[in-house]
Formats: sequence, C-alpha cells, structure tokens
Amino acid sequence: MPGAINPIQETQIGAVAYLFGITNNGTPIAMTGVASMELDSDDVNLTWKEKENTDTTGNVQNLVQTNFKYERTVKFMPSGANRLTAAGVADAVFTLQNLVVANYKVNTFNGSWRIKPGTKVSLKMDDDASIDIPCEKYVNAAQNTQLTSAPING
Amino acid sequence: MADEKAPTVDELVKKFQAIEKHSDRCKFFHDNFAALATIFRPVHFPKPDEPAVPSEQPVVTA
Repeated sequence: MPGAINPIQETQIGAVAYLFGITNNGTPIAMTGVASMELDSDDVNLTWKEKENTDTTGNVQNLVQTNFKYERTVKFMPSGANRLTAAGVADAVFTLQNLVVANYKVNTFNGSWRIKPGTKVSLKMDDDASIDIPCEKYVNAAQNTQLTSAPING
Repeated sequence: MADEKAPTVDELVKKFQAIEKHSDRCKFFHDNFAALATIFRPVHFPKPDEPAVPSEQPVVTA
C-alpha cells in the first residue's frame, strides 16, 4: 500500500495542467500480490510485430502488423509496516505470474499484465531496495485474457 | 443456511500470503489453483505430494 495517506497533490499555476507524478484515480494504486510498495517509475510503450512485404524490386509495398501490445517496466521500493514485511514483498515478487494493477489515473496502466523474464530485486548498500518488473499486456482484450489466465494444469 | 459468498482473488491472495508454513501454502495454492495461478507461478508452489526438484529424482535407464 503506498503510504498511509494519499499522495499530496502538487500545485500547478498556468494556462495548462501537466500530468505530474504517478497518480491514482482517487484510490491507492494496487498490485495484487504486492502487499506494499512505493512506486518509483513506470514506463509503458506500445509495440507490435511488423512484417514488410516487398514488390519485385525489393521495395516495401505492404506492411502486416500483428500482436499489438504494451510493454512495461515498473520500478518500486518494497515497503511494509516493518522491515520483515518489506522483505516479504521482495520475496513475493519472484513468485508472481501476472501483475494485476488497479487505480492508476492513466487507465492504460491498469489491468492484467503478463510478467516477462527478468524480475529484479536490487539490494543496495546505503539505499532503499528496489524492484523492477518487466511485463506486457496485449491490446486485444480476449488475447490478453488468454495469456494471463492460469497455466494449464496437468 | 445462508449462502456463502465465494472469496475474491484479492481475498484469496491475502489469505495465501498470510500462511507461514510453505507446505501449507502449497496446499492452499492447489486447493485454489484456478484463482491463485492467475497471480502466482505454480513452479514456486509444488503440489505437496510432488518432489520439489524433479530433476533430482533418480534417472531410470533401460
């Protein structure tokens, strides 16, 4: 849970508002299975597979695009009511199959994300431990549901 | 008898993570596989009657 209070909103003055910080929709951001965390950064990019088909002189005359998906790396610090529970968060992230995220103000960040290889927990001398989780979410909802469902049992 | 509401995935996850003994956690995981395996990776929670590391089983040769 990010802190005991909601993030304190910054003040902005000017003709336009900027999207500042990692903001929630009014309810604290939650990741199922991650009992408590302090978000540091979160990057999502949209990507897809692209096949170029060429004409007889080798020039691209057609593009086939498939597998539209969001790729994400989320970085946060494990936290808790005490050091032991914070350490428990660091252990628990290695066991996650999917990251189910809720309550981001930017809605694309919410939903079920398939965790890709490379979850990293970094312990540092003289600094907070941090966790990086690479994950992806397919744009097609049915495809994403299939790929974030329970593994085949048996 | 009052209808018992099925627990949500969030509730199951909290119960699961509150279990201290690993073997009990593994059992709970497989008792609630359909929900918990959407969040956690089964390889970390083998069935209680399964060897934890199958590769350590003796190799049977013909």
